[in-house]
Amino acid sequence: MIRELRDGALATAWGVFAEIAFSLLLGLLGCAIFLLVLLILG
Amino acid sequence: MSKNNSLKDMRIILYYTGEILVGVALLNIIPLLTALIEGDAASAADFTVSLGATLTLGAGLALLGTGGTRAGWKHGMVTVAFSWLVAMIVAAIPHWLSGHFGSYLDCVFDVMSGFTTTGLTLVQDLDHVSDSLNMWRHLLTFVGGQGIVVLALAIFTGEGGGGYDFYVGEGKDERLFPSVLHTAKAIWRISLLYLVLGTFVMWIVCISIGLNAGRGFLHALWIFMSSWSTGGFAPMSQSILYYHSRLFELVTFIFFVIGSFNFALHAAVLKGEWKELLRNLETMSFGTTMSLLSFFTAWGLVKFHVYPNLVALISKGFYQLASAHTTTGFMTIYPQQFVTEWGDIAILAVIIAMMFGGSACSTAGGFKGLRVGILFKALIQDTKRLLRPSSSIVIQKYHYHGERSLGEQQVRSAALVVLMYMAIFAIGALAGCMAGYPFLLSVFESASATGNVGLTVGISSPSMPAFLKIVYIFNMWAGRLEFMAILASAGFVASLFKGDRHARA
Repeated sequence: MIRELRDGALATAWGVFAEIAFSLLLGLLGCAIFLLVLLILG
Repeated sequence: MSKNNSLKDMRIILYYTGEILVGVALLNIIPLLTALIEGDAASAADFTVSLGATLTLGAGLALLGTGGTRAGWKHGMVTVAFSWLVAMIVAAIPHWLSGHFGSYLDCVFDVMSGFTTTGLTLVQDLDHVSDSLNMWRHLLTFVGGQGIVVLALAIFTGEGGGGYDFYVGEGKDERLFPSVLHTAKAIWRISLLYLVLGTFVMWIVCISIGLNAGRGFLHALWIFMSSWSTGGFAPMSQSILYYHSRLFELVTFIFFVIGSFNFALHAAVLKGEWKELLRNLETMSFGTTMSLLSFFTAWGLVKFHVYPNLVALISKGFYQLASAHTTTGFMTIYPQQFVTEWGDIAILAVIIAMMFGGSACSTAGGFKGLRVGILFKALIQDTKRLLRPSSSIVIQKYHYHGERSLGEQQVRSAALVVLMYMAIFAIGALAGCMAGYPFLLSVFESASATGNVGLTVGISSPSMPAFLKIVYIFNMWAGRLEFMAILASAGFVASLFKGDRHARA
């Protein structure tokens, strides 16, 4: 029971971390594109 | 026989609408407690009146209706469309009593904007609105993001009810679990988990930028509710610009991007299937369109030398684009800056982003990444068919919680919803032009209302014509419910007038 709860909590924590990391990845990709355009046109 | 059937149908619809209204009534307790804790007697009275009136109406409708009957597809669809309209009218009572709105139409506009997670507002002097009314506005947007019917399902519906019809009617069509009741509860568990985590993180950020603990907590809670629901309401009239903090912008960006994900994706990732993030058709579609539109937005802004450096370019340009694409509507610029500074290329990119929107079965609006992805895959499939011998069979695969083959029915459904969005969007744009606003601004505001975004170029204000407010209310409602429930309701009403038994079957 405790082991199941612990495993569930760990999976949830990793899941939240993965979602945050993925949203940051999308943000970094967008920032890189903005930088690229600035370098091309600026 | 026909009349008896109509009456039976209506009584079922009234019963379930009544239950949903009782759920909405109970929500009044939270702002009521806020007012009582703060010793704000006037606001407490407003919410007591609202609670009483909504509860009476909800209980009255439930008593008039027939409970215990298994609701069918038709009942589910019509109940959802009808209950959203009735909920909009009664939830506007505290708005009207607050004295911060010019008319009751402005109040229902604000409520529909909240429920549909749009974020356009007609409130006057937002900066001096009571905390309890702000709590109510943000609560409506939070609940609307998960779905008010999903809330009612989670509270009232037993396993035997025809809940799935209600669930689909509200624009969510994926079961996270075989039982719709478990699905509704799972959606709320995920949202409440993030509510606790997100509010805590936002609270730390609020304190770090100088807000005191009490005020910081309320702002953290409201901004998180708005971010997660991709809502766009903010307690201050300057939206996110008010906080003048890059950290604040970064944290809200993370929450509204996560908020725009599909609940089925959240459920999978939180169970440990985090690789789904990198393979799912919807996240890939979202990432691709976001990247392409980032390029065009940056091109437009750099070409016209709108911002002096990369930090400002990202903080204003990229943030606005992401806010548009996730259909959040938070602003780090003034509405007039879109008009006077941004130029046509960047504005057009933002309009396209607003129309694409976030994920299906999420809090976001727009066409949804899944449909964009499916239509793109269908385009590839048809191109392959053209290039290969006519006798060959082309099977198009895609990854969406496992490998799937693209079917004609999926393409047809996606194309129909996109077509309906375009039609409603065109009506909104036309109405804006008829009200005397310039073409591009009318298109922008219509895309924002239809896609449930909330970015504004300044058209949405208390002074805009009443007919335009009604058109935008319709666009927000239709955009959120994704047309099926509205079309079913129109068919149901038409069949009542025609007395055609077959049309209602």
